[in-house]
Amino acid sequence: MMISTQLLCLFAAGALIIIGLFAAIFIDNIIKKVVGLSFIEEGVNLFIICLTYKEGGIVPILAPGMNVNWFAQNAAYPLPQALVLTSIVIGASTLAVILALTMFLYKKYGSLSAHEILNNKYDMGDEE
Amino acid sequence: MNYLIPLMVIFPIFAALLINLFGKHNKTIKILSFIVAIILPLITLFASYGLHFFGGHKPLIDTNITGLPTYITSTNLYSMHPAITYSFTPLTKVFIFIMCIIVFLSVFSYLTSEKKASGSFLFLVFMGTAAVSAMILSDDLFNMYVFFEIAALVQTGIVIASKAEDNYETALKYMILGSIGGPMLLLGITILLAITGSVNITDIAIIISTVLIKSPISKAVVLFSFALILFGWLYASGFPPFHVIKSSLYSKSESYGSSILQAMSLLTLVAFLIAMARMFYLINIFNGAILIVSIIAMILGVSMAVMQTDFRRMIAYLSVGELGFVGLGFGLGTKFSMTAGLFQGINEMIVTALLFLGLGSVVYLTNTSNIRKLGGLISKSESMAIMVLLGGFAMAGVPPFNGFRSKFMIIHAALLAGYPEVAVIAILISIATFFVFVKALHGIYLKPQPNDLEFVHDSIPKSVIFSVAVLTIMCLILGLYPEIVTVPISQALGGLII
Amino acid sequence: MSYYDDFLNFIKERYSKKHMTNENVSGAIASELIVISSLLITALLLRHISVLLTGIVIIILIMLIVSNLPLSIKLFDEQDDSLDKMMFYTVITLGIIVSLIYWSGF
Repeated sequence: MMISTQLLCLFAAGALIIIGLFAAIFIDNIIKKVVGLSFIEEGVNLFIICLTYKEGGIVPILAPGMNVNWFAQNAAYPLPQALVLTSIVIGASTLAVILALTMFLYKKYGSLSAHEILNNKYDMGDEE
Repeated sequence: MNYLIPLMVIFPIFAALLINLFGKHNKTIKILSFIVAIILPLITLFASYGLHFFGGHKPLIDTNITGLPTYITSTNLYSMHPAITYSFTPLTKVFIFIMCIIVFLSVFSYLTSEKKASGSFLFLVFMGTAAVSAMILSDDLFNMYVFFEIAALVQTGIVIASKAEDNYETALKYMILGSIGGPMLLLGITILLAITGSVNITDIAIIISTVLIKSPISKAVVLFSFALILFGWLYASGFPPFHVIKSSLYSKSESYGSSILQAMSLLTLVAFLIAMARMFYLINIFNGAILIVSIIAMILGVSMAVMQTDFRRMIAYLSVGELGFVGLGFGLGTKFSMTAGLFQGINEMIVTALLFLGLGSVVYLTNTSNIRKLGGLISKSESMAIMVLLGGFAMAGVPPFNGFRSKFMIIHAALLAGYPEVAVIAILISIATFFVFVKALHGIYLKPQPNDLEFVHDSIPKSVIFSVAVLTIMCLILGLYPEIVTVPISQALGGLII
Repeated sequence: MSYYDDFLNFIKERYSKKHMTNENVSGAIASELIVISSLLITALLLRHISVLLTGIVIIILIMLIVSNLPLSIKLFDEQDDSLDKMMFYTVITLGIIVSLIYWSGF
């Protein structure tokens, strides 16, 4: 049986999301954790692109003289492709902020372990 | 077409960029941001209700184009919204107007109590205002997602800009949790896009209610996307399991920042809640899911607030817990209860801003927020103490304040809808809220002043007292004349929910 | 007053290194009462689905609550600012929400 490219892409997207969730819980190094988390983002982006994939589809530009019905049947849906660009930009800017904060905290603590840096407990108001 | 509607988003973004450009010139940005903060509520006030289609692309049904083939006129394509649509209703007007007032008061207090204004902080404030306004105006899910991420970045930025301890750690944690919450929301939205072919909420609502809900296979997909959007909504509004990080976020920023942060979370919550209600209203477990989530938020938020000894954290947890009331209104599922929930949302926004600003003056005076180290501050400023007390009354639901009106409406709605348990829980949570206030007020203002308490500043700036007084008066007015807000809300709700 | 004494001892044990005031204790007790009462009342909401189920759930809930006293301190410990715990609960919640809504919506 031939597996369609779209199905394969969807499985890859699902796998990326699950790998990302795994990394979010089990990986301690902040940089690795963040890379894992960006997998979730990329998995979702891949999912969006998959939606519009069409076997033998054409670019959704209506050229003069083209049969409208034929065009409507064969053109890929352009909206998700436009959305994914925005989504990638958002992901990149979020990643940039996270990495900048990580860099700052590395300078402060000299460590990249999430367990050491990000596990500060409540103070019940009696430090001294 | 009304050009003031997009201006509500474009103007603050433009102002934010301009302020960031002049970041080095202290006086310029102070004057500029003051003017912008005054103009913002005015735009909302003068804009007239209606729809704005970006690029002018109206749905075909609204245009005068004739001679279209039947395969367009007889299907959903004919009424589909091709453009990003902003809809300005009485409901959005109330929310954006109150948000703008809070932004104005916070910015005003910030400008007068800090010697040197930070351009980047003001940039973030106006960017955040634009983002939440866009979210509540937008009729387009993807547009909402984009501004949701911008709002998350802005909230992180406001925390980074503060001088509190451990603010970078908190910001990083918020971002890391956000990189699960955000993509899940996007995934939910794209699943809806995949099955309906549109990201417009009105289109999606029509398609779901007429076609997708009927077949079990497509209903499963709709349910899956509802679950994912619900999860993203939890992150945006700070319901459990995100209540810890959200309250931590509020307590780690300056008081001016926190009052804006909570207003931003509230608008995000309301925007997504209305969007979800419009799309998934017919799903049988929609109300139950929202109800359970809200009750858990109320219990965890308030029970955590009771145990805090840091008053900023206390208010932060309380504001998360009180947000549960908004969800409760939607969970009960009647029009009356939804009106009550949204009214509670407005009151919550005003009261929490009042408390953050008012108790922020304690931090301004003593540079500590630990109740154990404080005491006897009533001698420093009686008026502020009284106004904070009145704010506490308003939040706990004591007549004649606005909190009493909205909570009473919610309890009444719960009894009418046949859920007396919900009414009992609402009363319990209100009592606990009152308990927290008595504890905080006693600790800060009434208990004898500790000997080792040192003062950083001698008196509270007049501007902060003015801002808090304005908010107190707003609480009182809304308590005496709730129709100002409830009538437009219930009018708008009647048209929104199908 | 034996429950109060037990409670006090538990808190003292937990926070023995720090000094404690009546603020902590009153807060913890209030929180305890809020959690127990509202949990039990929330369980009553199940009667809209099935009365028998409500009875069973409430009995189980009471047993769980009694065997886990004091709840508020344990809840407090679970909800601290550590990223590991927050992340754990986030992913758990995602799983619960997706599976519950997916399977119960039919």
